Amino acid sequence: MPNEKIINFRPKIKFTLGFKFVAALMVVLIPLMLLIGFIIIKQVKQVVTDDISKKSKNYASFLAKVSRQGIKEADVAILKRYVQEISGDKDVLYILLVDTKNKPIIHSEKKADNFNSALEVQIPIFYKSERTGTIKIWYSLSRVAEELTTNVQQVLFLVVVLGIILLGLVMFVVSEQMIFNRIGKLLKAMRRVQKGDLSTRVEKLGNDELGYLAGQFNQMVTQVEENQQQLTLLFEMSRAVTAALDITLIMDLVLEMSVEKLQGTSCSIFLVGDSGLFKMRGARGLSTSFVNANGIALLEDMAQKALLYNEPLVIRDFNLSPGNLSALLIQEQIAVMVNIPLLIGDRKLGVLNINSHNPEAFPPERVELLMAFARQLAVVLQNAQLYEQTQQFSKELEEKINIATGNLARANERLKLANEKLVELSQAKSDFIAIVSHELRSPLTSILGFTDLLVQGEPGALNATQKDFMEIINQNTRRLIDLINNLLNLSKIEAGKVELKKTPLDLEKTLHGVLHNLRLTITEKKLNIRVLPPAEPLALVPADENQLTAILLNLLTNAIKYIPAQGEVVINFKDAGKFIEIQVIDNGDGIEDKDLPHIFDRFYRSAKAKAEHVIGTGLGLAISKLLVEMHGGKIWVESPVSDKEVFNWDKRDRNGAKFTFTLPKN
Amino acid sequence: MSKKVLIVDDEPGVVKMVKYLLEKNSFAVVSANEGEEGVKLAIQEKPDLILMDIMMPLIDGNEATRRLKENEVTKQIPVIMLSALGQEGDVAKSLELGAMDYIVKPFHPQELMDRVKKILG
Repeated sequence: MPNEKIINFRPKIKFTLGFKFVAALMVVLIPLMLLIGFIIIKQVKQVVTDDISKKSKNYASFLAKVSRQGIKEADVAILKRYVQEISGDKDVLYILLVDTKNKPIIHSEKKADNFNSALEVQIPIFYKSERTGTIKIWYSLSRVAEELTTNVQQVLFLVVVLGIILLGLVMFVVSEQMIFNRIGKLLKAMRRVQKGDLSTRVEKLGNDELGYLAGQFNQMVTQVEENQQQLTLLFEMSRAVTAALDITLIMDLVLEMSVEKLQGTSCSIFLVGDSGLFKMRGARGLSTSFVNANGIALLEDMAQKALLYNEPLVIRDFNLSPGNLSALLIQEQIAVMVNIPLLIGDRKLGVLNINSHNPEAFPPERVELLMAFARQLAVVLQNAQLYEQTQQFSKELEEKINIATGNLARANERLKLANEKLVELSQAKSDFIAIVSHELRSPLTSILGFTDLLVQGEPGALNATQKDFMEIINQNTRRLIDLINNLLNLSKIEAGKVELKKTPLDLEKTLHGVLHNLRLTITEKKLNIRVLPPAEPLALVPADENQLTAILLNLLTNAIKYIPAQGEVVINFKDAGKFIEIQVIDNGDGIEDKDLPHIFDRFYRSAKAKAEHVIGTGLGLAISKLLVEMHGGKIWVESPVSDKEVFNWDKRDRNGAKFTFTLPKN
Repeated sequence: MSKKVLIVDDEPGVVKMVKYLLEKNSFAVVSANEGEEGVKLAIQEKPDLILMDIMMPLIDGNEATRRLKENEVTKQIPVIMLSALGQEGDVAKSLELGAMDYIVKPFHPQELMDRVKKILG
């Protein structure tokens, strides 16, 4: 709108630039040309006149010289002849010789009737220092005129050339003074504005187009400056409120700024609460009497209207509208009231109300600014509300976490205590096992020693029954010793007291060492032990020799225990990529399905083993499993053995059992 | 003259069993049932071999062995540990103190005699 104003405005210019220009030319050029013409004409006239007067003086002197005697002696005839001769000059109009009494003596023929435009030259004639008369000659000035005509033509040409040059000069000077200088000023001002100096104004540049331009320029800059100020204000206000996250703080800021920066005399903010309740949340500058006279309800009413129509409500001049309410507002000296709804899309957050004593306050552009600000404020308020909610949530969450953390801490404390107790218990258990095994071993030493001696008949031969009984005692003593040893091993492994001393081992060699230890039992039971040669030479495997021996011994003892006499045990090595697989396969009765999942449990003994009185502690496989796992391998069992044909076993034969364990190559 | 063996053990059954074994194999036997007495007897009797239990009241077999090895009179006498403590660390500790051999209880009588004869020829 302000731009249209500038464009539609037609200036009344008294003297246009063109007029000024022409006028200046006339003023300068005409007198100049007149002057030049006058000077030249005068000069030419002077020259001609001088020429003529010189000539006439010559004539006069000549005549005077001739006439000296002539007049005295009155040789008139000679004089006459000379006069005649001189009057032959076409410029000479008339010659008259007079004596001292001015009496004509000789004269020529008159060539004209009057001598108004003739030049009269008088020369006195002296003879022997005595004046004898005067010669008067009238010259025609028509030659002068002729001379002048030819001369004036030249002069005019000169004047025109001079005039053009002068015109150029004048134009230059005038333009410089009148236009360029002023345009320069205008440009300078424009540049300053361009650089952001909006306080720039062009001084009065006269009353022509440039002056108008300067005026428009100033007006425009003023407009821009105002817009800029509004934008700055909007920016400042927006920045102030966007920096805050607390609703109360935001409202304080807005109210503060509404009074200070927007020149409101009073203001208030209404917000729609969670329950939809529309309520004043803060105000500034309202008088106590206004508040006491229920002015708040009035403001609320107005604000609600703005909210209802989703439009800014600007009310001026309450004098025109009758009623109590207006009276109240007039009493409060409110001349202008602005209510701007705070909206986000369709969501109505509230209303910003600003009032002023000044009837001129809040022109349309200021209301536009307020609307822009209100949009920002709405977003900020919404953010603040969300933030408040988030804060609330996080506070609740924190409380919950605190409670949970407290519970956790207490639980942890209990767990810690329990754990300490457990560690103590574990230690106690280890100590207990160590002590018990020692306390058991000491008496077993003498039992084993004496029964050995008795069975061997060292102190004297026993009868058959005595020897049989003694052998049972001896055998059970050994069983006890095995049990104690296994228990000790297990508790050591579980307590982490066993450290593997890995060295690269040749598995086959280790196996043969174990088989060597078992050779007596093997021979006794007439067992067939077959070690299948591996397809390719086996790589050395890093393992603890003692523990690997224990594993193999356990598996082989186990197999030997459960197969009948003349049974077969096959040991097979397989390269399985990152692992070496070692299989111990027997062709015994196999393991029943219900026993399979528990075969590696400690103290687990199958019903069959118990029924058949197979000697065992139920710890060997459990220990083997722990040791294999310490090496990073796995152990498992299959029964019945599926690939019996591989071992050349009769398919109708017993089920058999296949124990496999793996050892990593690295 | 037969070689003399000192048995130091707080378990009377073990002492009796070992004593029977040794005497049966023509060794002279003296015995003590705790460490301090064992050291005294060793100095006094200057046996050819000492069989030493470890877990005993007052001073244990390791301490007794240490004292024997510090004593000029007894430091040359070979000591075989007879102990229910069968852990590697236990064995290493005793051997470090100067014991010549280590037999874990319980043992077969034959095994003990093999070791004794190996030392005493």
